[in-house]
Amino acid sequence: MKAKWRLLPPLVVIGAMAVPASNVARGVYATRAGLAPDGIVASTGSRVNVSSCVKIGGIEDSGQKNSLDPANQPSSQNSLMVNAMYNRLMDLDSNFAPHPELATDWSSNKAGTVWTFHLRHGVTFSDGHPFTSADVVWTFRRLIDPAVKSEAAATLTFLNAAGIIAQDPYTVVFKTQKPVSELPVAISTKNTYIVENGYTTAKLRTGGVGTGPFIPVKFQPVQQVHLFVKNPHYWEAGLPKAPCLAFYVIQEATTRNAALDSGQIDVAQQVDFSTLPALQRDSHIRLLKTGASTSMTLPMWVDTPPFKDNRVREALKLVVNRQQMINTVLLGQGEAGDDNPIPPSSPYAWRHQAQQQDIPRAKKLLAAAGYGPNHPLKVDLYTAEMIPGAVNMAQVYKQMAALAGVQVNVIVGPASEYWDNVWLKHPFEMSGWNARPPNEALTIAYGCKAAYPETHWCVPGYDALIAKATSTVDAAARRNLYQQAAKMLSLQGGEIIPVFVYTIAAERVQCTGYTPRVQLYRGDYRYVHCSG
Amino acid sequence: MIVKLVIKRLFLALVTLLVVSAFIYWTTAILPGDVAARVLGRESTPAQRALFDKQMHLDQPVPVRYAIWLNGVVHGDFGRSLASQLSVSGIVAPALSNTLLLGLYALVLYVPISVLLAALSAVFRGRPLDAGITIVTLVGLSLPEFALGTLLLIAFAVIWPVLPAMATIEQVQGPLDFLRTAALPALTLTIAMSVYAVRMLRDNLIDVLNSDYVRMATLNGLPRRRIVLRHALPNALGPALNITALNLAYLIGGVVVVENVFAYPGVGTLLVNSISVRDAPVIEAATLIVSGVYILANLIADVAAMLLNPRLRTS
Repeated sequence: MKAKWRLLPPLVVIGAMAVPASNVARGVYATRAGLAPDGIVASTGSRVNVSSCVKIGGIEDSGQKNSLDPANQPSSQNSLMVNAMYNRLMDLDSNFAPHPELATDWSSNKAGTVWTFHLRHGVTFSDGHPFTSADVVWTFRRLIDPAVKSEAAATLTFLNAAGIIAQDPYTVVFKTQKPVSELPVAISTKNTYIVENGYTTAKLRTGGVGTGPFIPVKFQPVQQVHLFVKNPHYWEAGLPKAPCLAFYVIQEATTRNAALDSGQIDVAQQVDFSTLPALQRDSHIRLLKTGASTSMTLPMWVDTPPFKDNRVREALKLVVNRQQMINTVLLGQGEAGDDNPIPPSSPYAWRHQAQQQDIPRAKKLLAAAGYGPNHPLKVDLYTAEMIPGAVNMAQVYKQMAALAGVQVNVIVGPASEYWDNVWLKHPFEMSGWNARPPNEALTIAYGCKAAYPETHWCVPGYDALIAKATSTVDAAARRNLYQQAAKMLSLQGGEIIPVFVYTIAAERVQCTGYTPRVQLYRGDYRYVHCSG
Repeated sequence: MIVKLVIKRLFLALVTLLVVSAFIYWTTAILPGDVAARVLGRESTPAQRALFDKQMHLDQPVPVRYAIWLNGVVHGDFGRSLASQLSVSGIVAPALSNTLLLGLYALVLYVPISVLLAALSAVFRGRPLDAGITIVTLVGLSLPEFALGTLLLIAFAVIWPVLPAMATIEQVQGPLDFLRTAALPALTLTIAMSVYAVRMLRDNLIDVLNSDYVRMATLNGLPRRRIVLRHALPNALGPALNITALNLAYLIGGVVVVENVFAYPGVGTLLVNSISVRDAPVIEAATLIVSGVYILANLIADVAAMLLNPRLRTS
């Protein structure tokens, strides 16, 4: 009797767990993911095996926030999926120049207040509905609709619902109050993917349809793998090359590399540069690099002592040996920055080289500002590992600043709290920005009406330059104005921008055709395919 | 009389659960960071955030929100996820069943591994085998699950690639495939649990092997193996039951880290994601369920111990 009693508790617990066990045995999990037990994709009826799909490993999981509605993108993973199934009017290349996608050509009036877009003929949504101007109007009107609560509304303030007009089924006109010289770039963001006319937020969440190269299979927000099959009626002939895509998220870097190496995934959206040495030796993996992508910055409040004095700001910029910082912090995977948000390699940069380190001049400037060996400049620098390498960068900066007699006190906090509790709240801290087109890069954090005034920079001359550029239709003249604004930031601004990181993706050697973009949300999977 | 005791324990367990639920709700409510900003994004306007706060009752004081939530829980409704408006039970249930499955797998591996290692260690006490097993268990005790999991990953998915790195259990083609796919996370949990059991079981077994009746059996000429398996081991297992119950509770708790390492879609992954997006209803539901399992495991251990040992039946 007693021996039997002993077995009872563990048996009860094991019995309680037997239900999920039997679920697996019956293949319930497989069905939930849209696969029949033998790997056939059930919902579309096409005989596609998951192992023939191009498997993509992402880095950020938005869990239950996942959605097929382009209006709100909770993570880069969600953006990759939106990219796979929708198109925009224009695609932006790595220099943010627009190229035709659903729009074939566009032009504006001389003032830049009326923009006309001609749309591509013969495109259909995956439910058979033909693509027309009504879909474009619906898409943009809902992005600026307060009830939709889209994150795009903040950058589309130049649009109003009445000014988005369907002139005929294949022509859309955007009319703005003030001139917007780069409207095509401004309406090509991570949210402006074209959805079908009449599709509301509720319907788009799990049931969105697009014109893009892939079609979702039984999309649910919380799934381990999100499956997309090839769109047989995609408007670009011969594309996409892959029969299907499978999106995974692997947050742990070691696991992601191991999965890539063993073939569990074919493409890793991003690899940690700290794992680069191991990956470079791996013969199963090919590394893919972008140009200058995310910037890592040290903003200072220009209205607060000691940073109020431009000599101090200049000195703090001069202490940095940018190439050395790239070599130590980023293991060589970056481009030197020139203290303005436009990378020196960009055609919009005011000079194509970065500020060089100059310790003697830094010391002279500090002395002129009243600091010296008897009265050293002491500053607190707030940071966290909210971007890989940020803490190391702060430490390296501290050592470089010490060469000029500046004492930097690095204060490290938890990464998950940084953007909520530390950012924008201290006179000297660290930050970083994803790659953006010049107008957005120069206004998002700088200027009297900036959304995120990291440096409290408010100089009327600067705002005037930007306003003029926004209304200058001539491209060369506009570039000149951007260059003047960038020069102002380099020489007088409060943001030290020593580096731009290269985004590094990886694919298995048996795969080809994937090119990562500097815009992290833009995953272009039209050309990628794998053999074996 | 035993029934009265069990009912009393059950009642205490419920009260504990209630106190835990209040604590969980309070700590989630005071998490720093603006929930509306997290859910709607950094670029949302103050008007959008105010509307969100109103809709989610976030402008009410904490005790009022707790009462609303508790009322729902008692009726089986855990509310709607803040981040996604999906029903919380719809999100938590599949994740929970995945985790329980992983737990079951780890448990099934844990029993034979602990017993075998402990028996070998005790029977060959003082010899190289015992020393080897002791060293391995002590190292295992000192390693955090994250390091253990990563080591196993490197060993069996990179250097000698026989097991998958990522536990893609939503694609398994049957029970055998599941066993292979979830092997690494289960093994990590098993090792993390069994190191404690091996230590305790070994000590118990050594005591039992030195006792009079075992000596009597040896003198009577019974074969060694029979003595260990049929006489010594069943008596040594008793106290190990308690540690198994605690290990069960640990399973659900320690699983968070292990799931993250292997991208296993269970309660751990769900909790980590929900915390980072401040999705309070999901955090509260998942934590409450995990606490419930812990309390239940302890309750079972207590009751089992009372049933086995009359001396513990105080009234």
